[in-house]
Amino acid sequence: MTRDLGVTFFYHFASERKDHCGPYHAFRAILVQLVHKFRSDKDVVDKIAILMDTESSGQLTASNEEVWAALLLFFAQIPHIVLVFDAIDECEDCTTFLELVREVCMSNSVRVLLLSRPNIDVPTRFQSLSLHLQSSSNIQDIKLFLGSQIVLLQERELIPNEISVRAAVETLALRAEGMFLWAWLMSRYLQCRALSPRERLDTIFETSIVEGLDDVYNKIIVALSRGYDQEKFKVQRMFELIAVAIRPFSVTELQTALAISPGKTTKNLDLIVAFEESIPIMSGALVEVQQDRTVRFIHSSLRDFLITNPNGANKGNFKIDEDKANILSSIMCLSYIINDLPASPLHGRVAKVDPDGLRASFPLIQYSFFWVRHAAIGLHLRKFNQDQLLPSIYDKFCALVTDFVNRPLTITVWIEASVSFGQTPLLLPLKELYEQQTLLPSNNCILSTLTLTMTLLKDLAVELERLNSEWGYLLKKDPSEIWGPSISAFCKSQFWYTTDDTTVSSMLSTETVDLFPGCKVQQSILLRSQGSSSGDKIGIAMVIPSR
Amino acid sequence: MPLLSVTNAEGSKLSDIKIWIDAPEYMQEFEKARRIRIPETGDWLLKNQVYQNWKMGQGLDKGKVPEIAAPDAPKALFVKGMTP
Repeated sequence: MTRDLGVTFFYHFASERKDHCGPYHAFRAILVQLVHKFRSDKDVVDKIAILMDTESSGQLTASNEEVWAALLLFFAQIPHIVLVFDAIDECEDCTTFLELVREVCMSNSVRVLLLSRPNIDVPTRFQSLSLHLQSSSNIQDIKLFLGSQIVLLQERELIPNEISVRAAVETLALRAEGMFLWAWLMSRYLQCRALSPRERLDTIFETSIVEGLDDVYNKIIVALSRGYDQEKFKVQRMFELIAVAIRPFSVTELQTALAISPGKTTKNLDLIVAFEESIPIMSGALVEVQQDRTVRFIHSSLRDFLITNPNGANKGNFKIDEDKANILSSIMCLSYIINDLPASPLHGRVAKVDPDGLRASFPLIQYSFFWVRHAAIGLHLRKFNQDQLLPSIYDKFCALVTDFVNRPLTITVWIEASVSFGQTPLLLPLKELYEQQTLLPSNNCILSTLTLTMTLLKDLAVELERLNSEWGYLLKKDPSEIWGPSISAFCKSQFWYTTDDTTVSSMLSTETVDLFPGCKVQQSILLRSQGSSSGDKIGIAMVIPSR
Repeated sequence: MPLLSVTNAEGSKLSDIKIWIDAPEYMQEFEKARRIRIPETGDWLLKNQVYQNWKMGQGLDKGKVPEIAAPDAPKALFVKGMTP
């Protein structure tokens, strides 16, 4: 498309990848493509390397400003660059993104093509051309697509061969009204196994049956509702998990997540067999497996359709309450940590204690760390939802959190696992919610239970901050140190594993301590440390500065 | 710019740069679209006058086409779809 315009680079925003929808994510992708394209140009690569080595802040990854500086370097040197950004309406900060694009356009060498839904406001000072899709603009594309789909239906004997492909295509293409998504969803609906050939023909030729995108979604949802109760329950859970996912699940992660029964250990017998093949069948093709084996909705608009809202077009089936779905996801993750991870050092359990090794043994381990974020989001959204959340869900959440807080071995494993994946174990979002007193369920019984639970969590949150502040550096080097004597001796806590292998004895007399009320050991200055010849003792001399 | 072969040392430097940039995954959507694209899809856009003007770096003569235009050959082209 842009072959004769110059070198082309691109980025597609996808709202399912919440952590990659920022404005600078797009420009990082552009920059790495530029580096790759011009990798043989030593001059350019050397300049970027110098920027990285000498001008950078020293972080392992470039800051946004450093990425920008590197990009401007390329734009100044390379003529005729075309940037293509797709689905910019799904960027989490479109205003900032467009400002950056405007700045990019000031460079003589760069031209930009932006594709979006019609709901984007283009800043008036942004000089640009606009092309608004009309319903007739892409009708040929829609006909091409529908033609192939109708032929496929006939080959599979889902509609009679006597039906004129051309007539079917013409009628459907007109009703699509320029929305390719409508045509795509219609093709998915027509492939639903629950439909008879008569129903398919009626859907194709009776114009009143399906009008608009929401109608297509409703039709597919109604077809799914004909399934057995247990099947519908699994589909509901699948939709909820995907709708509120912090980042897309892998097939294996979702398979495990669906198998979890909160409070119980998950067994192989609980897993849905041939899950990857089952996903499109179970979901009526509304969920699909991507090439990277992540699982997503067929389109981001499905999420909006399913999420409950007063003006929603969903006629009742498989509705999703965002707050409830988040709390259920938190429950699922926490149950996995408590019941499916071992209550012992991970480095003794897996052959290779690195992310890949841990994921191989514990498929949901990395996603389970999101229990904190899911709980914070769910509880935060609660205050905007006037409907009563089922007490059973609150009870389950509180029971699991209380169980978690009272299991030092589980917390220790959680810390070791988090750090193994490069994450800092924190409870900050929940602690902040508690301190802001935003937890206001209307049921007083639930309120008292939740308040007690959050008090326990708050204490753990404070201890974790201390651990991360004082021993984070050591844990990053070796996550298994959480089981070791050093942290146990110098950062003892009721919340995680302690060992008596090491004890700390202070040479300060109690009178000395009393002379400095409120004095903390942390404020003292280390003078000298010396290990014993036997290696089992270490002496540390510190001075407490005078006031 | 001359093309030179990439040595092992340069390859290592490139690898460090790419890690430093920390870019998100970007090929998947493109490859998916390319895989399922039926030939001739999108031709309507390539033939559209507004697109042609953007491509050639030209402004748009108001009144000839219904699309909104901005003068003095802007470098950016917005293509807005229909799905809300």
